[in-house]
Amino acid sequence: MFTPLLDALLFFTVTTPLVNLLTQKGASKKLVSGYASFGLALALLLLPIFYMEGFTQGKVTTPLLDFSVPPIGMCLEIDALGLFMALTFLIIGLIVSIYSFRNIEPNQGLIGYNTLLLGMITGMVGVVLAGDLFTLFIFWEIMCVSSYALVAFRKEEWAPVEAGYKYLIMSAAGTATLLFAMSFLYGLTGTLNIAYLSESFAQSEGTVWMYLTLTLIIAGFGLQAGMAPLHMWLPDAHSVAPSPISAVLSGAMVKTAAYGLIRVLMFVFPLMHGAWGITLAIFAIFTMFTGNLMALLQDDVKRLLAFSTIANMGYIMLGLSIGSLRGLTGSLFHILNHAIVKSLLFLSVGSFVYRTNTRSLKELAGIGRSMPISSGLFAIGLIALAGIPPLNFFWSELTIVTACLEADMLPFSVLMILNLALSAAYCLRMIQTIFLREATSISKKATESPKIMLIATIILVSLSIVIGFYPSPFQDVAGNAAEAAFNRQAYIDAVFRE
Amino acid sequence: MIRLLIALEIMLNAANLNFIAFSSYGVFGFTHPLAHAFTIISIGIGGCIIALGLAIILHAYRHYGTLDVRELRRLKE
Repeated sequence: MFTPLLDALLFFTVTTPLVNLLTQKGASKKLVSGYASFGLALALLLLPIFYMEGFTQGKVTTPLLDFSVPPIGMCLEIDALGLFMALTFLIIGLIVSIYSFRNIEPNQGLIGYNTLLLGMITGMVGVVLAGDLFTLFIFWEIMCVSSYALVAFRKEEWAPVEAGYKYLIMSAAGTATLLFAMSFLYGLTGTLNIAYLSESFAQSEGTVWMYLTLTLIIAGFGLQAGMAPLHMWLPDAHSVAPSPISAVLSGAMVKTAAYGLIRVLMFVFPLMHGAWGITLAIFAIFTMFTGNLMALLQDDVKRLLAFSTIANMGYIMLGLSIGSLRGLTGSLFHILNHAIVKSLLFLSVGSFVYRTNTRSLKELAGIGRSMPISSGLFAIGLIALAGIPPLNFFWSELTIVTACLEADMLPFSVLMILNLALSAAYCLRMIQTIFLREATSISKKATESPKIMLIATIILVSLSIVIGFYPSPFQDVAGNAAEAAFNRQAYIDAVFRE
Repeated sequence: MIRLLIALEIMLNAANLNFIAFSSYGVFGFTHPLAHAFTIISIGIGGCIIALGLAIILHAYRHYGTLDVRELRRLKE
């Protein structure tokens, strides 16, 4: 129907409940989790098989054009930028689904869980491969609706229900804002195809309506990305969701919003960079400070990590706001690194919660002695998050700061370096609490986490270390994706050629 | 809490109405099909969001015993 990649993901999403029907008739409960993981692994395999050229030569392909013709029909458009994001999401999704073999106990409704997880990943991949805003909106909603349900998944407790409600109201309001912005884009041009929009706005200077649309777009995507004045839902939703879901939300889902900003701002409004660049940079700085300062005050580990996600979205938005190739490369590289490290941290915290049933940093003090392997992996993640050189965060943060300096934005880079110091402070505080403090009664009782959880976490740690020591190939891939974002002509030609 | 959902529905409807208004704006006597297709799908999606919201409200009512959204402040403490 769409492309082999999306077809496979949709197929597995729809058939997971059917497989669960089998398990109720006596087959192993692991089958459902295994089935979901298999689906994601298959999708991860299909990606390089079909789209290798998109990665290496920046080829833009547009499936679906045979029977639905733009500017009216829906279409997908696959370029290096979308593929880069899709690859990140699929890696995180696969690892999280492997991890979920144990974390969600079978009696808690495994059907819903795996179906919704697959639905969320499908939505995210669909968003990044969409060629028009119509398709993008539909997949966006698939992603959002699945995530609302997943945040409120443990409905027997009050906290997930409250966070889920808050998240639903705020995020749906953001979506309505986006829809409103899309209606204005449609009113201005008569199409929603990104290539056609890009072509129509190629010469036009900013009118009042375009500025209004731009504001609505930044607000709508910014809400989902956790931009500072609109970030209130993020720490609640990310901290009370089941840990693997927090990993997907924090590691991958906020990145779709960053992708949306990149796609719309770079392709539809490139001429108005003077207006959105500085606005976004100021919001980015505000976001960083909110995230880092609030993270310093937290006792709940997952809430702390959620605030750190807000801060990192600030770095990513700053890289985008510079509007240079190096800045965008830094942003995209940071998206990859942050996805890996933040899901690693959430998964390790998930194994602490699995054994001790608490998220409080005070009660988890000294757990390094009773769960040495998980805590060791957690500490490696924290060192990466603090931006200490041999690990991956350092390289992307360095790229963003240098790009900032190149663009003569000295105050912004100074503020970002200040923020990096703040984030190092809370990371080191957590390492100190976990390893050096006196063990509490709760952390003494804990035992090492199950093997399957450790395997999932170790894959992420090794990715983080490999990127840390050999950053250049990964940086090149991010650079290709950034070049694709600047190469608007190729994107437009791919649609017009047909 | 339910009024918040109603407000959400109004926001979505405003955007849908905007699409429909723009669809017959360009050429006199001609309506553009894209906006109609989009609006129908968007109404369906809006229905999904509201249904899920009501389901969450049901569970919230079981925990809090009220429909007052100002009572949902425990996470801030």
